[in-house]
Amino acid sequence: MIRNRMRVPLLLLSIFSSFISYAQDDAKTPAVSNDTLPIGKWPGRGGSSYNLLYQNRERKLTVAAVGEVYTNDLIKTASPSFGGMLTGRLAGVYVTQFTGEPGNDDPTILVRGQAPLVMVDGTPQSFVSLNPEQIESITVLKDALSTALLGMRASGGVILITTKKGNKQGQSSIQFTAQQGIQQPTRMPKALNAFQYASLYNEALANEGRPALYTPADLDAYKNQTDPYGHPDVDWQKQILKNQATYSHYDLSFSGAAKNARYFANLDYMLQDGLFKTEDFNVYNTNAGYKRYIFRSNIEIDLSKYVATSLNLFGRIQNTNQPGATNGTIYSNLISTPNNAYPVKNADGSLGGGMNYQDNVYGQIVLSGYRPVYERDFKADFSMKGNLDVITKGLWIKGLAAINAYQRETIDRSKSFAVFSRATDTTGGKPLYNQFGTNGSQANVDGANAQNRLAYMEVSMGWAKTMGNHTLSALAMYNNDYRMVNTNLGFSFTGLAARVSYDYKQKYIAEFTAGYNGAELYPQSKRYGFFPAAGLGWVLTEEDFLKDQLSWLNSLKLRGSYGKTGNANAGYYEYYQYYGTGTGYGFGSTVPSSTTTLQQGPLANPDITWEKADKLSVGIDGTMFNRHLGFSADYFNDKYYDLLMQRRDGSTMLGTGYPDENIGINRYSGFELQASWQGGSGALTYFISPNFTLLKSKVVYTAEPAYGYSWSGLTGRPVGQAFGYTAEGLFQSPADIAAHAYQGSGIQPGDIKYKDLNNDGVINANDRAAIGNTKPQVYYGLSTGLAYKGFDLTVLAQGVANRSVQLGGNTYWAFLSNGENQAYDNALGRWTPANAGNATYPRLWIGNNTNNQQSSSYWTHKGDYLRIKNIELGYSLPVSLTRKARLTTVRLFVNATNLVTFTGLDNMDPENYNGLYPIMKVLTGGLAITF
Amino acid sequence: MLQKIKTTQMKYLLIITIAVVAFLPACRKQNAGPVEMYTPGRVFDSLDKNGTNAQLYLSNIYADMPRGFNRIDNDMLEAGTDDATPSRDGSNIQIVTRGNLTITNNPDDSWSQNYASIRKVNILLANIGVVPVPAQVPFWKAEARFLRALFYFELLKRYGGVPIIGDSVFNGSDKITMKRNTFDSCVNYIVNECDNIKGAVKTEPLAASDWGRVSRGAVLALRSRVLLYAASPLYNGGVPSGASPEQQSYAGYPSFDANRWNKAAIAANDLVALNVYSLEATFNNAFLNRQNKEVILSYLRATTTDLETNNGPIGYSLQAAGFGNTSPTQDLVDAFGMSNGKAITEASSGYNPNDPYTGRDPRLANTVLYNNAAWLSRALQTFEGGLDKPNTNRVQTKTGYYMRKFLGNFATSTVYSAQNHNFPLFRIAETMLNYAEALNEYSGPVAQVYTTLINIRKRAGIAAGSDSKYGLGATLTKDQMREVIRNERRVEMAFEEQRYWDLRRWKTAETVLNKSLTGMKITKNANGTFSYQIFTASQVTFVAPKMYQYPVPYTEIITNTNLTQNFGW
Repeated sequence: MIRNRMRVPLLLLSIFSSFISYAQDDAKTPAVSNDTLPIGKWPGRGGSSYNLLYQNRERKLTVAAVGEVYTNDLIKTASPSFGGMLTGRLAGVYVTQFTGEPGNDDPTILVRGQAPLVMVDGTPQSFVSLNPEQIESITVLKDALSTALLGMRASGGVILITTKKGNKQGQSSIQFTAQQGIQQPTRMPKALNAFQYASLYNEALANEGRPALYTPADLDAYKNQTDPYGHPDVDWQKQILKNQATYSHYDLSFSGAAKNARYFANLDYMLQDGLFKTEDFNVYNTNAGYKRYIFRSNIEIDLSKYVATSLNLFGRIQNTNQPGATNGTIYSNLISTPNNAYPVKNADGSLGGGMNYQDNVYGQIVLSGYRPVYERDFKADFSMKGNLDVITKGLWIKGLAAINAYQRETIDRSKSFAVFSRATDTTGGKPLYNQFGTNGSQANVDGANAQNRLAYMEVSMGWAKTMGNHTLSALAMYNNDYRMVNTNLGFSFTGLAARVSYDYKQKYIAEFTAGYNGAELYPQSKRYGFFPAAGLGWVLTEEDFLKDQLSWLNSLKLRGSYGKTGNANAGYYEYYQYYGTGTGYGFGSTVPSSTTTLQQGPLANPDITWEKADKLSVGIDGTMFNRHLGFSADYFNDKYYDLLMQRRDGSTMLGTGYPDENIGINRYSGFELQASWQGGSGALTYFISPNFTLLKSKVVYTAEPAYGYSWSGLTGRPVGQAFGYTAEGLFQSPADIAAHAYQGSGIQPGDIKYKDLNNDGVINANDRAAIGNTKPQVYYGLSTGLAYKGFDLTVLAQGVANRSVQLGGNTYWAFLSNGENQAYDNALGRWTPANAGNATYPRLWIGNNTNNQQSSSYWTHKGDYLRIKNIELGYSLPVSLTRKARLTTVRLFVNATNLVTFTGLDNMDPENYNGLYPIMKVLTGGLAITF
Repeated sequence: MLQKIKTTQMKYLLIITIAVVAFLPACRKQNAGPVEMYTPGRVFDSLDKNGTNAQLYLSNIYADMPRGFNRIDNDMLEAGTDDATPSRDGSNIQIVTRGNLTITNNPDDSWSQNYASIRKVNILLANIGVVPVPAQVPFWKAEARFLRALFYFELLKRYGGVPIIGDSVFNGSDKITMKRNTFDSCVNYIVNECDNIKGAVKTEPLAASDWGRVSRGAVLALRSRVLLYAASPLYNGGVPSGASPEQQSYAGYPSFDANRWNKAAIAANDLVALNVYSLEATFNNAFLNRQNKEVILSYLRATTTDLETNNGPIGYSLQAAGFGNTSPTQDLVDAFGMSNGKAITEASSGYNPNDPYTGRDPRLANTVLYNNAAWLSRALQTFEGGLDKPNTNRVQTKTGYYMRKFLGNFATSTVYSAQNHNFPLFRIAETMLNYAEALNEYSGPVAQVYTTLINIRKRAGIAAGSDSKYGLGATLTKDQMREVIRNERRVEMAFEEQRYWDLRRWKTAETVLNKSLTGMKITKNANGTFSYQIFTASQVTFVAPKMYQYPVPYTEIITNTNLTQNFGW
């Protein structure tokens, strides 16, 4: 609709596609029909073709397992990274975000359970943090057929980002979008107040047989808040965090064409402010924050009818800031500091603190200086393509070179500060303050810097021809990807790739792809591997017995692929035995100046090789009901073998860690469904697009010792299965403890009771079994939209089922770190004789408790959740109005990302439950204008 | 068709061809290996004429020696005995003191760590031959072999008999299925190694640049300690009766043999009689001077304030601040006699419970910081509510005492300054006490036993007394003398990681470590005087007999099925 102005015709999505379209235009000229996709009035919900590796392929002829998502969906989720925008959109893609720390909030993306290779415009040089406005499509390549061209880099699947190109039709347009809003944490843990904390602390001490620390007078002082300096009650979250932080995003795009040239240019600015409070006395900004500036310029010039060139330039500047004490440290102190640890400031105005609390959290946000990080990226791709019809029709040759330079500079302008603790007043005079730490001068030094230089080049040749009912196309490629990262020596992936596609009457489709490549990660004599894959497709609706027989069935295609892929994941010279420096030691009657020592490095594996996968994928695509409904269903079964791992069945008497060996075998299988219904009547249009994934994993072999018990060991269980004791509730009485298997000395009522699985009367490692979820993982998304006259509303809901989380650590266990740490409101449900029946937490303890802190099912919680990932409501001004202002379209919108989360976890975000910087809910309003 | 192409298009085709050729990979040399790393051939190098890198490799093995001090989660190992209790709640040493040691949870587990160190030694022995320094290589080999023997002893005292791997350097592909060697053969192995290398290491006096290297004295000191342990009640016929014969063979000798005490006594005397090591004039000098005549081998480090910071009293600030992690017990304080050499329980000792720190064995003041002791230019305040025991939510002493041993002499300073804190692995006082103990067991309280104890006490600053017996009873029985010697070890070597193991080898842990530990509650009276009241500060638990030996770690038992677990685990 409105943003549709920005959409580029789908066949012109990439440099490759435009070239291929030349060949196709000459070879066969069927107009691309929309017949594998639902028709609908809703814009931007898919085209008639996919952007695949090195080609744009009609959907109806695609036999690989792929999924694709477009600009109009991507812009709906406020996230700096494309991963965040992908969340919940595609079957087979699982995105998890662990932290919301500005500039450090990249989610992890898994495709069919694996970490994919990310490519931008066909080169393996990626950027996680990207604005959606420059992305035409993100294609997820899930099976062997679609990825085998990448050989030993293909096993994880591929996320292929295709950027926008100029509009071939020659229309020029300018679009400006401004979006401004606020961010708030989705959920925060709820800390105990000082009175509750002190009362529970005394109770914990009593449980340990120790006298109370807080006297009744102390407790009264906490309760009545009568002594803010001696008996402080600081709500650290309130003290340190703002209620909300700014979010801004501005984007300007130009697109158009001249005679033989097409261009797309994009400028983008984004600001994600942090939650920390600031003070005016600092002349610099101490708040966490992330600012990003991006520009892209994609230019295509046809030098002649036979020669086409393209030049894509990309630049990005990312500036991150944090207080000198660093976001991670501050947030962890915020989580772990009890309300009564110390007053923010003492009565004399000095910062509160003590020997065990030298990090006054307030001091850390405003008095510890700051640490800016400056990152710069530059990427340039240049390609030339020649049409060799002169030799034989349909032949072409192409060269592409791409460089990518990245540099990160971190500057440390931190400083230390002093805290003061009021000591016992022994003289009756003035209070005595003990100082800890000093007010240091501000540093100004280079911190940890990083750089990388990537250079990619490829030479490819292709040919396509239609002879009667037979259509054949072929591709051969040589490529080299040179990567130099930080101080490591550079290395290359080098190899060949080939593809042959054939179809008969667009009814029977066959495709063969292969990669032959190698990397210097492996010993010189064993660097290259061959990875073939084949796919078949059968378009049933092209068969006479179905064609035009069923009015409700528009198209139906069966497809399948099988192939082998590799994963080159060896570490830096793992095949090479070297020595490095070790713990310092030096002799002599005086301390020597040098204490360097040498020791053997990690044990080398001279036979190390790439991991492999055999992947089977079958699917069915169809459209029905006058193409209102479109669907794709996939089943896959992938065997990953030669997985690099350290054996678990070896004795530590080896005297060093076991080397990484290619021994593991895992199997991943699953089912994916992606569907879409579009409809409407009159001025009303709508779509509803669900996706569903079921992912099952199994450890087939992992070189484990023979445990001797069926419940022990990873083999046969899901990959990443949690293990621990099976809790049988809490002990209720000494008799209960005496009657139960021995769990160690000092067990008391209220401690967790573990199941003695082997009935030997002792709870030990042999009683550890799988805990938490053991069922296949389920994740799903539901995207819907509704438009009426000028209004449009879209919603994305996304969820995960069969998920469990192990709670623990500072946000869940009270009084850790020898009793120095905070307690949260879940501790109020602790076991006491009076509360025995309703306890939701064991009896309280202080510091480490070797019984209760064991990994056990007592701490397993259901981690299922459903998030309203985004909601956007827009209104477009009537054209009659905008025309007067010489604007094409004007749209106002409000957007909410992560607005609501439904989960069984109390006061915790289901993705961020371990005390890291919270994930943000983002509420924005904006304006999009097209000129 | 071809003729249709215009010349401009030919030109473009030429450009493409050139471009494609240019894209073809430039001839880049493939990498042979990481340039910044050492290859084995550079570490043990036939062209390294001074053997510099080989020495750096040997230094790395020295760095694996036991480090002592606050090594268990910032607690002293003694916080796992009756000498001290951790000031912090729920710290890892309490896994031991609460009897919660398991096959998977042992804060002092060192099985894999010692085999890693043994591997280092074997790599050196296999490769050092090419290093062209004939004058030094034999020393380096002998030093490495000593360290290997020391690592085996560290295993032996924890787990009993362990597999002896000889000079093997295993590969990742080797399936390691060795059985444990018996306690007897482990002792023999260590003693034989000591016998073989005692003439091959450097002899005293060591050159200043060699200070810290293994000397003949270190070899003899290890030999003495091993033979003393082997003769001790836990091992010498004290194996658990319920254990299988195989388990018993790992735990010790099935039957008692008095001659083992004789061997131990002779081994100790071999070193003492050399007369190259002697007691420092001042007790503290043995710990605060990097080089001194008393310490035979120590873990050398740069000067630090870490001991002061970890253990120092909490009532100071800035560079004088301490965490006070270690709370010495009243039990330890009571073990120190009076300056006249008599125990505080003896009627004539002169001990005054209302003034408990006056007139005591001078070593007390050098081992424990007590109330009113001078520290950092003020009197220590461990009375209730005092600066160093404020009874707030801060970590502070649980007993009314802080640890003083090894800390610099800071009575009159205002801040801590970096000190030599080199953990004494062997010092002559220990070997002297080994001698006294073994000789008393074998021959009874003969004159040499008295002489040895008197030498220790004399240096400690105990008054000679009218009978010049330094407080020792003139007519002690063997049993009484045993108690005196054991107490002397306790006070002389407090916090040197001796008592933790002594209580085990004496087989007394089951009583000594199963009780309440006490502290001193001190109240400051209005007139400035103090009242003293002993109170229960904490509990210690020892599960006998299984805790006398650590369990072989679960990962080891499960991966090498030929290993037999210790009795009770």
